[in-house]
Amino acid sequence: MKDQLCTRQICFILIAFSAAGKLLMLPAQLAYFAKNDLWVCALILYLLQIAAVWSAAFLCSKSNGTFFNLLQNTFGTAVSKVFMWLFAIFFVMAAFIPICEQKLFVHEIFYDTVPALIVFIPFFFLSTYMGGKGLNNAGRAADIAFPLFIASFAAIFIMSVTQSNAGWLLPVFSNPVKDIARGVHSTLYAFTDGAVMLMFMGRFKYKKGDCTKITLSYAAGAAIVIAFILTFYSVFSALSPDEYFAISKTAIFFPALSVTGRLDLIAVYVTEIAMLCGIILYIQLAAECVYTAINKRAGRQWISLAINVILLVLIIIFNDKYRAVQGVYGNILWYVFAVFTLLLPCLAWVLKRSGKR
Amino acid sequence: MYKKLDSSVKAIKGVLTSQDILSFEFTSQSGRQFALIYIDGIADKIQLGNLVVKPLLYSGADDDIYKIKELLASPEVKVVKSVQAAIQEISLGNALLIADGEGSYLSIGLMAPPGRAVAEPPTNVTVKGPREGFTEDIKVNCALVRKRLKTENLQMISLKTGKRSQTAVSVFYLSGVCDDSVAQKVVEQIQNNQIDIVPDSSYVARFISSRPHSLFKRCAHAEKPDIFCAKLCEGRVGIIADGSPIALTVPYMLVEEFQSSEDYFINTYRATTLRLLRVIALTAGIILPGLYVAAQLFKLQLIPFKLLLNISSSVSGLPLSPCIEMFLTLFVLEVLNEASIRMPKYVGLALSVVGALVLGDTAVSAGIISTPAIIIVAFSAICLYVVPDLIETTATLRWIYLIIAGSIGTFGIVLFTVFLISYLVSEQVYGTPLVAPFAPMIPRDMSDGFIKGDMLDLAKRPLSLNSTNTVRYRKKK
Amino acid sequence: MKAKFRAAGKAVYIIVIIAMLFLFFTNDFGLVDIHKSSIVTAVGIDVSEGGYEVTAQAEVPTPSSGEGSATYTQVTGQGATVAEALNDINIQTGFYPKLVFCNLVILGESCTGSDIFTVLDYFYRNSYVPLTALVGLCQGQAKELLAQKPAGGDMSSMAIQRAMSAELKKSSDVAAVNLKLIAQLGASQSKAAYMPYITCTQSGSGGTTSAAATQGSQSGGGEQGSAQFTCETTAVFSEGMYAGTLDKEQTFAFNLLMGGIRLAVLNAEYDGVNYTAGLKNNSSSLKLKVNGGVTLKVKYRAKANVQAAENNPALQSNADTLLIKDGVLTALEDELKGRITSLVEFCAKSGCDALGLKQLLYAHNKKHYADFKDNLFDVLQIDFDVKIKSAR
Repeated sequence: MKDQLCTRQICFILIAFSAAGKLLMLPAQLAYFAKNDLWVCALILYLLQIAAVWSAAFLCSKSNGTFFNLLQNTFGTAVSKVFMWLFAIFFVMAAFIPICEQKLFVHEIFYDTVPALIVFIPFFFLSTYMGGKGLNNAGRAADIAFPLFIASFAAIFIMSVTQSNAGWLLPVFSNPVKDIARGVHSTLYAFTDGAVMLMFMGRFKYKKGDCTKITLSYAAGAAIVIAFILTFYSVFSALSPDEYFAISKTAIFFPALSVTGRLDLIAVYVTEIAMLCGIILYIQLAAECVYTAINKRAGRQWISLAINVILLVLIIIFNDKYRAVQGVYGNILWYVFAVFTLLLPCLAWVLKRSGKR
Repeated sequence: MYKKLDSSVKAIKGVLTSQDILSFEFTSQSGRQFALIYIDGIADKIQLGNLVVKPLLYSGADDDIYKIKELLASPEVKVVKSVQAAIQEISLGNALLIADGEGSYLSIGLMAPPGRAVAEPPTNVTVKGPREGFTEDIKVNCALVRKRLKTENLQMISLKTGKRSQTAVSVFYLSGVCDDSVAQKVVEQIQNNQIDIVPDSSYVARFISSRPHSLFKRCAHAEKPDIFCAKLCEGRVGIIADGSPIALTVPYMLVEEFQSSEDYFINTYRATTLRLLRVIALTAGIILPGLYVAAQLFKLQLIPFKLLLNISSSVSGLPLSPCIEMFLTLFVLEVLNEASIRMPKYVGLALSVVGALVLGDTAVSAGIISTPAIIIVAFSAICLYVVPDLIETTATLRWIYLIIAGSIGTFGIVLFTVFLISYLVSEQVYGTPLVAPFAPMIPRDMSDGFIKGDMLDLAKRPLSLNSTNTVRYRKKK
Repeated sequence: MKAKFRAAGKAVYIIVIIAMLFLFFTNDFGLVDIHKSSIVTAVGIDVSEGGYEVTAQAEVPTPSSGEGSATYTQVTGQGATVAEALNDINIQTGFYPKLVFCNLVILGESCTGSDIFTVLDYFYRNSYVPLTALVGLCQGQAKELLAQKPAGGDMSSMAIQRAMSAELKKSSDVAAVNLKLIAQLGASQSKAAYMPYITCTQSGSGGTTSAAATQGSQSGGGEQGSAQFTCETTAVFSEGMYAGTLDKEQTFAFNLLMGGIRLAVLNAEYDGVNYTAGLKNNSSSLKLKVNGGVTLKVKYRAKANVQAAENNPALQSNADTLLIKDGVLTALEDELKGRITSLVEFCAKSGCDALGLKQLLYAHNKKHYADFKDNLFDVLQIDFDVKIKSAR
């Protein structure tokens, strides 16, 4: 199979795309549940995900095949196709809530007055176009988006950290374990990286040490997110649960901005590039799963179009029901996310491997 | 074939009826009759007299066509065996020698078509570095390349393209350095085109492009032989078309547009600064008009407060919306730009006065457009010209960004930027990614990307070009 | 398949272009652009019998010939809530008041009778209002204060912002605070907040005056006795309710303890002579030590030089003009300790934990928090570790 990605691109995806998506709503949601211990929730979630990513990456060192090939070897083609369909549905689900968040983010941060839903529709044109391009495109987009993300994040982080007060994070472990646990399962849907890594299996040429590189890259992304979450709470403390779209709000207290205007917004817009690519990656993965499941009988573009139409309809239906959607994801669907992103990357080890290295 | 001189001349003149095709008949020392047929103004008459007519007048050894060929002092002589081929040779500009009683003719390559001298191209001026530029004459251009690359590895494939124009095209590459398959593919693509005329190398660029309708070009342009040769040495294929002072090179990478030849002749720090400046200026030039409109319409916070107060005062009372105001200003700029290129130079001054004073100052005084809009558009216009070869693309992108920003705001700007990234990263030219060495990221090639490494650090050829010999020079240990 | 997709793509492409051109040329989707907006730079809130009176000082789009002279207006709206009052302004002017550049919120004296978090509620709920806006309490009505004309024909909001600037905060003279910090402090365990108390004096008149209320709009530029704004004292709030005002000395001590001071100026008397010292390299910290009772450890370090001394001109001195005698340093330390003690006593008396000691106890000694949260000031002892050294 032709390699679609290279290790570096996977690392970039796991740092930039994965981290960027967690800088919008996650900090406020974690603060809502765990208050000043929000970082503990993030740490637990990340430790679980790091284990899942490591498991999937390590499996790559043992087998040349894709996840679909492993399923095929073990259960036969029919069952593996069912699994691919399930993964496709999972990735559509995983894409839906970040799209809802993006819609709110765009409406609030890109406009001074509340605009109509129509301004967000062009996202689906882009998503359809990119969704049909395959993972190769995602990898190369990551090559461009990664340095942009790092530069813009660094600018925002520096502006934010100088105006923060770490004292607000004290005392540590002051909240009940129950709240931490609620924080963990209610935001589990934002962590899909184990499943994403599983889909990257067999799509890059594994070289010795790649497992470590991939895991460390993901850990670096985790460090970025946790550092940001800590800064976020240090800036807003009790206001944190209400401060949605954290990345666009933490830097505004930087004194120089009162003279230069909201230059931080430029950095936010640059970060948005990685966020959009991260969301579209789910659509690309869903399209890839369907493409495999239907034996490549339809072009990726058509599959991407179908997925985007579904997502667009969902967005229209749930236009002003973000909290309800979030509630469903956090309270009911978190089991699904736990299975796909944590359990399956670990259970993949029991699958029959072919083309051992 | 006609053996009689009269019949041959008649047959040829019967086809080439144009009055600038002249024939000159003379008799050699041995008493044999000859005729020279040539195009007036193209053939070098003095050389024809010295190298063709004189030897025949003073020598009697003209028994057959091959002996006649030996008598001629011209190096470019070939035997033509049919009237059809003879006609084609004349059309190409060669002189045709017909000897009475011979079934074959001699085509003599002694052309001196009018053309300008080698000079510095006006659109590619350097302060430091070579100043020679290509001319419209393919032979001069080929000689300029040869002059710089005195190696047996330099390969040149001569082609004719254009069904009617029969334009000469030369494909250059360095064997052992360039990927031969790229050269072969280029030759095939040029040969396969069925167009009637190729007046310029830009036509060739369309034929060798995998996506001729794309907004982004697929060939690099070189107006100077030093740039052309440097690109050949990196492992690229070069194309020179007759009648065009602009040579082409493939594979093409977008980053080439940010590399000026002067970068290689000046201090590396300065070169890096200039490259970054070009990137920033180009980005600003494309996005700024759109961003300004989007900020006014959708996100005032993007403008510093005190500046906003000034802008607010300037735009209030204007009869036009921010979108239309910017659209109009940009439209005027494009018209002025177009007119200033086409207009005779002596009218240029008047145009400047009309453009700057009448349209600029008066329009502001009359309250039709605001001062900030003029400043933004003027700045954008200047910015785009830091990379003049991309102006067709960047000027179009500026319009697209403006329309998007005016309709869906800053979010549209971000979306379109992501679209551009996605589009560009998936494009390839002869197997080389268009946005290499950034996507896919090739760290080794980055030293000649937006950052210009020192010449001594560029010991290897760009990996992106799949060169067969990657070592440019070996460092002494 | 690909051809079909391409054909469909082309159709969509054309439709999108037409739609975008339509939007571009019409802007017909309820857009509030720069032409329709008034840029609100400051908001004054007064509580009245009918609810709230909100005064917005705004820059309005007025044609000018390129020089960009800032023309502004001041409009007052009324409503049961701040939001309704702002909407009233919209109705009165026809311009949509954009608060994204609102950098100043002034509460009139009448607000001291209400919970400030109820008064400010609108600003926390509205995501288009920046939390960077400075907040201050003023003498009299906020509407009147904003109607004052400062020297130079500037907007009063600009002059007030200058009086609450970061530079003055760094000199320990003003306890400047923004919307974010007020909410953070109010929601902390201390449940106390503070804000500068703005006073206005007419230059030349000497005394504090209440300017005549200005209804409707006004244009900047005229000068009829210019107003000066100062924020030397600080209003403090406990659980949202007004708890008193820190005097100038207490405000100085408060700012010094809150940190971030670059250069403070302190007066002390030694040997019958008044010395004014400049304090630089300031560093301060507050720590609570629980040992049966609670001890507040106040640590302060600074380097001082004499900026002026009564009856001791520099010209009469030797090369050590800037060197401070040990006695003067001790006097400075004592002066500072006195001010801090006065501040803590004020907090104890008013029941307003402006220094955030309860939050400090909660953050660093959580296990003792329950024991002392209700009687902290009763058991509190102060342990000073104040050292001021000579700068040379």
